[in-house]
Amino acid sequence: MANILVVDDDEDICDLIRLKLTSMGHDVHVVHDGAAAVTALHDQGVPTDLVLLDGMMPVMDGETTCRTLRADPRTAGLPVLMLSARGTPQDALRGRDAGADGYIMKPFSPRDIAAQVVLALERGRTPGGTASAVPAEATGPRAGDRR
Amino acid sequence: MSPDDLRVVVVEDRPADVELIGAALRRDGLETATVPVDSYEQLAAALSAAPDVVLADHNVPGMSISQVLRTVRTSAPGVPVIVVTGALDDDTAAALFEQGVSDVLLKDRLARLGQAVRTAVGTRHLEQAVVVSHAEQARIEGLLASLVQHSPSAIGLLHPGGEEIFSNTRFRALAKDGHGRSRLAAMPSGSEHADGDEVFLVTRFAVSDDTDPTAAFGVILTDITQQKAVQAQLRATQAELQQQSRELRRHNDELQELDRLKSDLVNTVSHELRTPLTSILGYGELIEDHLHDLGDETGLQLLSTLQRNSARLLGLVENLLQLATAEHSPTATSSGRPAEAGQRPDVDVNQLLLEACCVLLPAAQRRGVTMERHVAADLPPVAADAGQLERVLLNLGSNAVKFAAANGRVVWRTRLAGPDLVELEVEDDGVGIASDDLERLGHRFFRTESARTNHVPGTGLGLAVVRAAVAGHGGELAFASQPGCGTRVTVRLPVRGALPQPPP
Repeated sequence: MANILVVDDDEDICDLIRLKLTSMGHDVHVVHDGAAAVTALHDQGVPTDLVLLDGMMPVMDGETTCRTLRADPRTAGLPVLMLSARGTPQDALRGRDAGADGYIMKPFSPRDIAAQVVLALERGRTPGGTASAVPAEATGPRAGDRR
Repeated sequence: MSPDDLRVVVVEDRPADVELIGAALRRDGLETATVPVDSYEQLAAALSAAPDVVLADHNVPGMSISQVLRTVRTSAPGVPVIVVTGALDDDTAAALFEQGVSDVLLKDRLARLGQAVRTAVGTRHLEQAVVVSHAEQARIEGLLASLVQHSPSAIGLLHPGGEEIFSNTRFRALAKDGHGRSRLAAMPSGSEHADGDEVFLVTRFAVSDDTDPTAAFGVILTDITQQKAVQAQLRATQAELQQQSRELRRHNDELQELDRLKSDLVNTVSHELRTPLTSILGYGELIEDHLHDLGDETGLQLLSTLQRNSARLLGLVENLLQLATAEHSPTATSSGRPAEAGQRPDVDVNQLLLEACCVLLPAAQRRGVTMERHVAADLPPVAADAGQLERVLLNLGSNAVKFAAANGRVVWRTRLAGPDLVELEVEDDGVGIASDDLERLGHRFFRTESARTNHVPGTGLGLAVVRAAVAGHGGELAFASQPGCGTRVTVRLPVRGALPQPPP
């Protein structure tokens, strides 16, 4: 099973995702803003195979967080799914521009999340995406676990 | 005799000489009507017919040339007299000219007669013309004086020093005295002179004579009292209009700002509502899984009511959000940002319909309503905002399910209505809509009489969202209904999406 980092400022949403994903056997780590997510990934080395990232958060929003992760070789290839309450095609496009691998609109059902997480973990990051500019030896932490 | 013939009176007693004169004139190309006379009575009669010229023999028995000349002067003044004579000396000739004779000719030198007659008649015509022109000039001068005198404007002609040469009564009335005249004379062109309630516009200009271009100057004061009054009224009206225009613009700005705030508010509220709704629906799902595992049927039934109402609340939020964005800009996507048709992704309407029917199915089952889909397999994809189009299908479908007869049916159809036109139709077999209500369908918060009396749940937002979304895609929306027989709603969407609309 995989290590999943959930980043959302709404604690109930975090719990909801954690309950669903832990019931599936995943390990879930929760932080409440983008800056904390960057710290967890870059400084604390929290083992992570997939990030679920909310769009609108205090301190550092989802898009900025995603760009920050993509700009660092350690997390450039890490799969990121964005969550947003704004839920429009344009928001999805903006999320993709920021380097996200997928986009889940709120309100989502826990079953949706489960399905999307399975798909994202199976797919991994395909070569030729944003990660292609990153040297193979510089992929994210525990990148090897994700296959 | 033609009217152009010269009328010639010949004072001559000898017919041969009359003939001679006539021949000489004809030889010279003059057509004449000759009247021979040899007495004063005959002469007087001939003169009364206004002849052009009199040719008089110097020596007619019983007549003296002097008397002939006097008779002509008194009876036909101005008619030239040419004396024709057998012999002549210088003194006689001089005396004749002195008495006003036009010319003197010798009978044996009549070759010059034609020329002499022409000259005499021509001279007379000139003299007559001069007399006429003098009279006309005098008349015109009189008219000019009258024109100036009776002009409604005050007119003054003054020496460069300001002394008056001429003025009309109006001018004198305005000047009042010498001091006033000097004041008027000194006023520049374009200035205004007030006299009691009256206002005059001053025009001042140089007047030239033969040698001096500034020999004098004219001053004309035109009464502009009425124009000034009209002008003042116009200015007042204009100021009033400007004021109204400013107020309208301000009102408009305020309304636009209010509308923007309203849309922003609806946007924000809708977004903020989505997060707790995610938790409500999400935890509901976890509880559902949990109750399933426990086999708690009562709990599941209670939960389903909670979930159904949460879904309804979510639908309301989605409608509000759609309406806020769609109304703000007809070409906006559900993100609120304008998008060109070309940027819209291709949407498979049949696929979208299938998904919408899945969402609508639980509500339909609760009312025992069956849903049928008859879709055209060759339907091309439509350039559209999938989110908006999904709302269109959900809202129309939700209405059809709500208003269909209990245990009735709802029929969906899709078809290609033209080379670039996709048609979507939904029909129910329910209460129908009164024709009065048909016109008002799609107005925000409007609900039909039957919906209200039958307590069918709803907000009056669904069709407003449909209308705005269909319009935003350059499509058409049509309703057909008869009370008691059900309702059919038709949506036509251009395949290539809305044409880019000019900015408002």
